Amino acid sequence: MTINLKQLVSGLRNAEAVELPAEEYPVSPYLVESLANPLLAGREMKLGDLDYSAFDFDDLDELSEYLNICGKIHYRLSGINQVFCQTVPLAEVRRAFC
Amino acid sequence: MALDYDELERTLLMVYAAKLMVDNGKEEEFRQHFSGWTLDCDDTYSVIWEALPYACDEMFTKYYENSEMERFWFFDHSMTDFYKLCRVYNERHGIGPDKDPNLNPYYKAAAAFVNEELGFDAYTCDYALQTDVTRKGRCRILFVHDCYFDGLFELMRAVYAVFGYYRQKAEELRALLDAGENIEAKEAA
Repeated sequence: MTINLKQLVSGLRNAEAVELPAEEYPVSPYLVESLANPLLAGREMKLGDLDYSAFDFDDLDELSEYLNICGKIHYRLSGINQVFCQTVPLAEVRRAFC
Repeated sequence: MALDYDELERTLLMVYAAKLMVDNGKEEEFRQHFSGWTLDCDDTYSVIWEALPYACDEMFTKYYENSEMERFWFFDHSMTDFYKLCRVYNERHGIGPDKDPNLNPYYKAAAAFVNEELGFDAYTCDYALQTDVTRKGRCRILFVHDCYFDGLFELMRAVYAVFGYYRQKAEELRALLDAGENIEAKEAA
């Protein structure tokens, strides 16, 4: 695959920033800070570490949905990253006059 | 090791199971047997499997190798209490054993509720509601699933919901029957 860096840079400049709409996915801050973030960071956690009165089933449903969306975004970004990693860099061919 | 989003989503089922236990008055059992489990997507099934019996008074299982089917039998005093009270209701309302038990609105509503909860997957599992309180061990829920079944957590959630329902409705029915008795006693006096 050939990547035209000039086109890519201009495309990125013109692209609209995509952000997760926080209002649409009201994730429980407790579950994000005490469960999702530590596990994503590789910290070992026990079931007994959680305060079960700090969230309800809806919070778990919302977190699950949020993780699903994050997972999809992560998958797409990984795909793009893979394309870049597999592309062989080529020096621009220019005529040189001595 | 860090979990990815997919693994974390699967690990959440462990938290759901733990939350179900805690919210249904099984906090002590949870602290005693489950609080030390590490949150790991590979242990999700094991935790739910271990936690399932706490959803009722007694649970038995049997696996049939030839058919690759597994049967569960769930027993709970709330269910027995409820159907015993249904018999009292039937006697008072002239619904004899030869008549359709669905003439009793409590019986009918309970069957519909159980069907709503346990009929979550018609392809890989099924259930039977056995309500005979005159024979020992015949007031129970029989649940059966094949090798493609993937709803152990849904089953756990449904068992908690069903026995919670029986507990609540048994109280309502008992109050109704007690009130009826008081009225009859007053009329007789």
